Amino acid sequence: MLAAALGAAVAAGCTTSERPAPEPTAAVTPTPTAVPEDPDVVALRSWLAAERRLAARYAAVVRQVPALRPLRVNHTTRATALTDHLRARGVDPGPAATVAPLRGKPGTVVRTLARAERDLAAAYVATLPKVGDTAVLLLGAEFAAGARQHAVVLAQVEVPR
Amino acid sequence: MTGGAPRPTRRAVLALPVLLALPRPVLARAAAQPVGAYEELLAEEHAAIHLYGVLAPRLPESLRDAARAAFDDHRRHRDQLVAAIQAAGGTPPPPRLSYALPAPVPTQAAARALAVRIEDSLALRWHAALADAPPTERVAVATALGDECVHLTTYRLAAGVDAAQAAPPFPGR
Repeated sequence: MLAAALGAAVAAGCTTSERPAPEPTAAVTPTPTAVPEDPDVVALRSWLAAERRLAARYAAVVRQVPALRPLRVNHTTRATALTDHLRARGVDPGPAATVAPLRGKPGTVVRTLARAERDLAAAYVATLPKVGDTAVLLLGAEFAAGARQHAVVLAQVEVPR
Repeated sequence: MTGGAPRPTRRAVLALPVLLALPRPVLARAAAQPVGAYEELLAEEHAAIHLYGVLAPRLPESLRDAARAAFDDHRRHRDQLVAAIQAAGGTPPPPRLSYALPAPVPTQAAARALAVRIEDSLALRWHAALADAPPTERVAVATALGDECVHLTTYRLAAGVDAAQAAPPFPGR
């Protein structure tokens, strides 16, 4: 009897249309929640921008110092690898920003590039503790070592006066 | 390697080289890692230090400073590895009394080739160590990898190779 009465009451409660609507307790508009971006994607984006920027900066000096052409090619190759990693994660790498090539006396440009390579190497290494994917980690370490190698080449290359 | 010696399997080498400066939880975790992996890297750094003593006097004068810098780096890496092994509760293996030269070093070119071989091999080992290094140790491991690659480039440029060979796009592979 009791069970039947309860069942009837529940059934009535569930089907009545006169039941009062609950008071709104919060704003109706959903609050956007900040979703932290994948640290690997953050690193890859940052590295890609840096590689593209340096590739662009080499553009003028490689005409005056052809021995530096492989360094520019390396930056382009690395940018492509980073683009592939971003695309594999479903992330659009976006277009490269417009960066003016460095101009001036070749010796001055080469010294500026060497400093930029050393800075890039330090930036790569500083990012490595935050990276999650081993493939991204190794890529960053390789590119850090590569930037230091570029600085060595730049320090030794013969530059026309 | 530039010679015909087989490269070690990358995963066969694991090192956690810089532990003294790290907080205790890292040390505790490192203690669970196989000490033998650190020992392999240390053994190679010991060998590098010894071999530099042989090859450095035979290098051309123009490479003496580079050789000194490389020698100092290997000694620093050795000290880091010794500290790591001790922190993990292990006993660092001492250097051998002598090391066999992988090839005779009768000329400056042979000395330079041996230096390239040493740096290339160690770059490979540090690269392999990075994959398994805890995040707090990655900076040290990646820096050691970079050190070896820098020396490698210096020696290759001195041998007259062009920048494309001296500085490949993916060093350490």
